[in-house]
Amino acid sequence: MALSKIWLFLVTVVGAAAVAVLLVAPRPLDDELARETGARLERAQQAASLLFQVNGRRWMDSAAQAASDAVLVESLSEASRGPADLVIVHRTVQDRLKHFGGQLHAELALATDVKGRVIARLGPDDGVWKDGVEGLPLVADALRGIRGDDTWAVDGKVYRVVATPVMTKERYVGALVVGQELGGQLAQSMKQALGTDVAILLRGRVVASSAQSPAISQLPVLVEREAEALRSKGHTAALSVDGDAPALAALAALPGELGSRAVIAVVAPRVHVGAPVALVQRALGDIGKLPPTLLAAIGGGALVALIIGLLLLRLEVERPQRRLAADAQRLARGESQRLDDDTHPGRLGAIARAVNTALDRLGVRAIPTRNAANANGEAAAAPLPVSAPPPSSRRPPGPQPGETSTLSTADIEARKQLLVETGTYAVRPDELQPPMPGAAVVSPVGEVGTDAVPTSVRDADAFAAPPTVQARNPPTFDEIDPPTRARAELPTTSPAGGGAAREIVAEPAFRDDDEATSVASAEALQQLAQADYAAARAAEQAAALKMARPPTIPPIATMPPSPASARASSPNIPVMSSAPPPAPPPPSAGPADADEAELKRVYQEFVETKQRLGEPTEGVTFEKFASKLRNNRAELMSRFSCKSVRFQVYVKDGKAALKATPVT
Amino acid sequence: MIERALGVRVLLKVGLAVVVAAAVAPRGALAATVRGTIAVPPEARPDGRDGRWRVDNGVLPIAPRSPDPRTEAVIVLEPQGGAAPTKAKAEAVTVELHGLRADPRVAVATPGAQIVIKNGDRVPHTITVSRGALAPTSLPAGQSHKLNIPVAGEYALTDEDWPHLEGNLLVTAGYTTTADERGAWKLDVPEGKYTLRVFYRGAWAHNQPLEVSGKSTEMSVVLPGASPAPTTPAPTAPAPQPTAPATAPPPAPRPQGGAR
Repeated sequence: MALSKIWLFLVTVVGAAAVAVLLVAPRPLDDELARETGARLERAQQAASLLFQVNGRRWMDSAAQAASDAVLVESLSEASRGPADLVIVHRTVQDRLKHFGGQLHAELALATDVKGRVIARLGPDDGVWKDGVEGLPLVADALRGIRGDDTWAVDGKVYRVVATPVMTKERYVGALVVGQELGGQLAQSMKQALGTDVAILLRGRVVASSAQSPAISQLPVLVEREAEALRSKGHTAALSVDGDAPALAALAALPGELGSRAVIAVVAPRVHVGAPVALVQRALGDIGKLPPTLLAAIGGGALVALIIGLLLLRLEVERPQRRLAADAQRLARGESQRLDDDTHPGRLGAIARAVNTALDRLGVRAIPTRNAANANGEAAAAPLPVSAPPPSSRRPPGPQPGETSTLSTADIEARKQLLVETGTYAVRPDELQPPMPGAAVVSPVGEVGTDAVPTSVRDADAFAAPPTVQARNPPTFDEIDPPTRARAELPTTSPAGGGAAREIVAEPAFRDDDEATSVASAEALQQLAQADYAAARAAEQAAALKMARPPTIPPIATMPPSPASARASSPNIPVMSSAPPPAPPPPSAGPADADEAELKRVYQEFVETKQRLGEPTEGVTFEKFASKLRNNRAELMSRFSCKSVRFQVYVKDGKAALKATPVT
Repeated sequence: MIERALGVRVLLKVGLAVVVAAAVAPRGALAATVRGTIAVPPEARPDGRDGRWRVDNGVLPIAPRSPDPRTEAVIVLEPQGGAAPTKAKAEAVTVELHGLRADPRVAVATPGAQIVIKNGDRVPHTITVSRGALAPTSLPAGQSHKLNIPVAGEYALTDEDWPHLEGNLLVTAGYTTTADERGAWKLDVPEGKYTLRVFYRGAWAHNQPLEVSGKSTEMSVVLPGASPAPTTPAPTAPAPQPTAPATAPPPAPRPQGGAR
């Protein structure tokens, strides 16, 4: 059981951990996802900067190659020398710019002379020339021989531009500038490269983006809010974009003279894990993406854990239970005298020991003397004579002789055995009630009716009230209401261990017409199998209750009325006759003589009772009566493996009846 | 007789005028000349750490900036003890925006003098003068804007449309001049105690007490981060500016450049 408990504990821990993870994980996962998304955006931002740089370098090299064009060099050299025909130079240079624009896919290009005066222009205002742009740092550096790139804003658009000097072998003669608009097409290509949406803002206005989304429309607000950080650091960390579609965005100022006025933003939607159900769905969806080897390992581990659990349950729970049940069945069939409690582990062993204890107690207990108590009806107030303690003087746990108790597990087992044999075993109704001190002797009985109708085998759960204590007037089976009978099948709630002075007497009934009624009925035998399992469960529960509930001893003042008054008020209630207990045989007499004397005594008492009740006694002869009783006793002794059978006469429904009690 | 009498009167009037002028003229005026050289820190080469490429062409050496950065340095002599120089009539100062740059880059004006900002480009500018001197003002091509700054100080001129375009307005009552392309400068001031200050690239870069006595004072100014100026004296000094404030240097023929 220990391993099963450990296994169950581990399974419970794993389950609880899984539930806790489901309940607790979404929020940390949300934060973690936000962090990961932010880190991804920052990496995308850095990648975008690298893309700009690589793109700028490529453009610079292309522009440098174009600047070495001989026609362009010669034309700008002419323009720089002075009084040349600038119109011709302008047209020539403009033609070359168109050529370069087609080659480089440039959307902006201009060429200047050595003073920074525009000779020709392509793109916006391409008809304008002779204006000076030497103040632009990019152009000024190119006129000194430095290649470079920059970001310009022209007519509300953002251009990525590169400049390269135009020179002869001896001197600089001008500069060539080519540029490309940072528009939607570039944003789309960057989105493919970066995996995030890209937007370009100029002076707080989105001028290009890879997608139209609510998050991107909120970017100007974010840029305005982070203007200081953009000015000081040039970029921001990933920031939350509020709105209908929560997102994260990382901002960076475009390199160049525009500074923080031109911003590139990488945007990614903020992913939420959501509710536990969504988390489970997401996890299930991701299971298919796991490597097959990992899946096999997980599945194999779960299968091994399941198999281990089942094996442990089988080894530690099911098999011991079956073994105990088989042992109990062997005991019930008379194939063994005791349960082998050493072979049963744990609580099952405790059950077996309890059963054995009960068997021991039953085997040494004397039949209580009832006649004396019934004779004067005073037994109600006095403790009943009960069985003597076991010879071993080992006091079993629980109530001691003289105390009272309801059925213990051992009692249930014993009665189950009786049920196997006689079919008359059941729990007495009064045992379902809290017992009272002194009201200890009870006797489930079979009946030996004088009438032709057998009354003993009425029901497997039937009880006959033992009127050994006249203070009680227990109801017969017919008087037990159905719910009570139903409860009678339940294990008792009394402290286990028994120890109370009580008798458990099976009394197989028989009729006057020699029809033995103690033979187990088919129905009773069929219930045997169910009783075995119920017995095990009942015993287990009783053992548990034993640990949980202390023994209770009701006060004696709650004893029921005296039998005399009970009889007076309820004449129909069967009353046990005041049959004396069987007298011990004289030391010199043999067993046969003692039996004969006993039979004679019972016969005489039976006849007297019938006569007293006004019943005919003509057909009741001693020989016939004794023969029936001997046969019945022999049968009972063989079935119950008892030492003897004690017969008692009592009144049932105004008629004399007999009860047989096995004596072990 | 008449002619003689007229000649005597003329002589008397001229002589009187000379006496009056000699009496009225301030003592110490144009009494001394302060000249020297200035060394400015070398211009940092763009290193691309700002995300921009700046690479040599690999064929020809990089040409020096034009105009020379030393021409942007303004030397100011402020009299100690609050003795202001002789008030001359405040002359108007013009700052022209052409070639997408401000010319001159540093314009010097006396307090209350009229400053004219003229847009000589074909594109509009939106100019702003710091310290509340001028709110953002749109200046279409070919138009100009006039303003007066009565309080001495340094004012930055910026353009929202062209962020690279930067200039400075230096409003001061001291004696001022600028260095030439070799870093030489000269000021004629009365004898006395002064504070020599150098305004360079939008900030005061040098501050030094100076006592002017005798006819000429030589000195060398080295701005922080600069190496000392060459020992060879300047062959020719710029034309002396007799009265403060000095005028701005003539517009450079070549545009200024360099990375920001």
